[in-house]
Amino acid sequence: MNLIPENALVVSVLTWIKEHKLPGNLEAAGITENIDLIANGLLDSMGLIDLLLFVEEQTGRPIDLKVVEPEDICVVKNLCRIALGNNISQSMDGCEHVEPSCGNVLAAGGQV
Amino acid sequence: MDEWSIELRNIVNGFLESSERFASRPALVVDGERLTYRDLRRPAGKLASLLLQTAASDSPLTAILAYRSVTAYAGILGILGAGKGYVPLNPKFPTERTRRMMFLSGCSQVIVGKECIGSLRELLQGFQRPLTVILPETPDATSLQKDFPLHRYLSSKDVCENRDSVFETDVPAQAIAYLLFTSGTTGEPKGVPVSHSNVQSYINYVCGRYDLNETDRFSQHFDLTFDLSVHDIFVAWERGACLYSLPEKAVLLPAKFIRDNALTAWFSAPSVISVLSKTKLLEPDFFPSLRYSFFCGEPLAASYAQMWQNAGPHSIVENLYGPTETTIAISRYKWNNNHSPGECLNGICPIGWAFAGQRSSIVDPDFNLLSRNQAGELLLSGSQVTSGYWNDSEKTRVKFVRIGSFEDTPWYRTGDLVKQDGSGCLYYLGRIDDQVKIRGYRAELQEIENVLRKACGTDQVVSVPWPVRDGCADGVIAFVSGQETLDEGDALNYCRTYLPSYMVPQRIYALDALPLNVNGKVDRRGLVRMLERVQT
Repeated sequence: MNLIPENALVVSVLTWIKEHKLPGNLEAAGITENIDLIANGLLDSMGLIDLLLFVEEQTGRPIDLKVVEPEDICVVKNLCRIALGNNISQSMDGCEHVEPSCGNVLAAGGQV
Repeated sequence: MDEWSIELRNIVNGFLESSERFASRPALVVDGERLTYRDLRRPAGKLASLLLQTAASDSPLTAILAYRSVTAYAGILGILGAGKGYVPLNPKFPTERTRRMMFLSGCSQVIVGKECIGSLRELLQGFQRPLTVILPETPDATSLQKDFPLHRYLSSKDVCENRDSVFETDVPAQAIAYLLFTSGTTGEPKGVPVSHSNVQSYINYVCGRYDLNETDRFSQHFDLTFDLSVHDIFVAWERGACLYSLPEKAVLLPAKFIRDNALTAWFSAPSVISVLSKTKLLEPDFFPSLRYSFFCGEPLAASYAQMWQNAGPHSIVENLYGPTETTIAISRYKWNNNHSPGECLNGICPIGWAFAGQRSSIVDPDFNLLSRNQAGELLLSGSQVTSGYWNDSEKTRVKFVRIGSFEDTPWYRTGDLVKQDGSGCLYYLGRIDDQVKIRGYRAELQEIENVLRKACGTDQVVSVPWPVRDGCADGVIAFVSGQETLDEGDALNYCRTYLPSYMVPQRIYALDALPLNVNGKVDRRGLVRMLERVQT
């Protein structure tokens, strides 16, 4: 049984990102559940780990990185579904939607 | 020929020979595709022929703008197969920096992967020198031709219709194999041309030391703009092994990729261990397939080496060291869980011994040789040491020197502070200048500060690596003063226009005044202490 509803987890994660990972040149309003956090330069590898630890703390259950593909946890909506043990292909609006990168925000180098 | 003598040949020959011996074995796994040596040789040969047919200038170099795609690898082989050196460009770098690299290299040809068409358009904006743009996966270049008529475009149709597949592999030993740009103190990227003989020396050493063969599965974790990628690509293909290019997101968390693909040879910066250690994935025997694990690019903490060794118990773990100017890596230390922890200094793994055939010396500021256990600057010499900087005789004169009793050969001044123990083992102690390593990438703080001055409209700027974990920096924090109306967002945006993401400060703090030390210089350590206090 999920202790936290998916919508609440999404809100909580977005708030955490805005508080801890928002670069000085990005507007908080641009951070949505569908954007790719890596492609938009919000997270690098260490930032992604920080986010995973936060989500695990919220749900009280570990995310099994032996099974989960890294690309599936770079979008808040997908991450929250995985964290709660839900299938990312069965999203609430019936489609798995990932917004393209913001043009002027380069990725964080893709490096660790 | 003994194993350390330099073989004068084009480094593409290793691939070509493997493509004869192991034609139907896998050579490359990338972007969801698996290519045999035969599969990969075909597009490489076509590109080599096309480059030879369309060379509009006598430039010895051709650029490649492609990212983790078949074109990226076939393009490199094609360029080398045309007897030219390759200049890797990175779609993740700011356009202005890429444009500058393109301009400085003097390239008149560029191969572009379909994943980089957007970056190409940005690059061509304002690029005034005519180029031949080769698009092996783009069937129609009409819109590019219309928007940027200065340049000539060859589409996938032109590549396919070219029936020739010719490799021009005869090159002088000193011909450039690749030109890489590193951070420069003046704000201008600094070109390091690396010759075929430099690279072949490295390949010969590595292939002689490590038992690698056609059944091995190599990681390709580094971007092509990082010279450590040359090890993955050319050592793998020299031995007939298969190269596994990690997808962009797997680069961040590579553990699953290593296991799923049963990789046998891993190469990355140590910060990968730092990241994975926080995921609880590095449990004992998590990577049973690994036979070799190489780490390079930044200090390797003993605790991380131990952790990785436990996760890959069948793997030989090697700490490699080497600046770009000395070709990939030039010294090595073999980790051993039993005795190595006792050989570490300040919890950092030694950088070991120079490769056989290469030489190291430790000198004081007047280039006097120092004795064992004395700390000084590390100088390197040998067949892997490059001949200087691209079109920059002044920087070459400063960094490539001739010393005392070794007047016959140039020595590269690494700027690294090291010492040597009684057995000759080298220990890295730090830098003698303001160069830092950020997630394995080399960066000059002066270059960052040059951009910051313009971004912030004040000369009073300083940057410090932060946070630093186990000797490795994750990023940079900037401090400025003398600018009361600083808009941090605007300033960061400006930085992003000119600096690669790893060099862009994470934050810019405005202070009333920058703290000074007793010598009247900006107190960088004081600023770091300030950050430490804020963190706690």
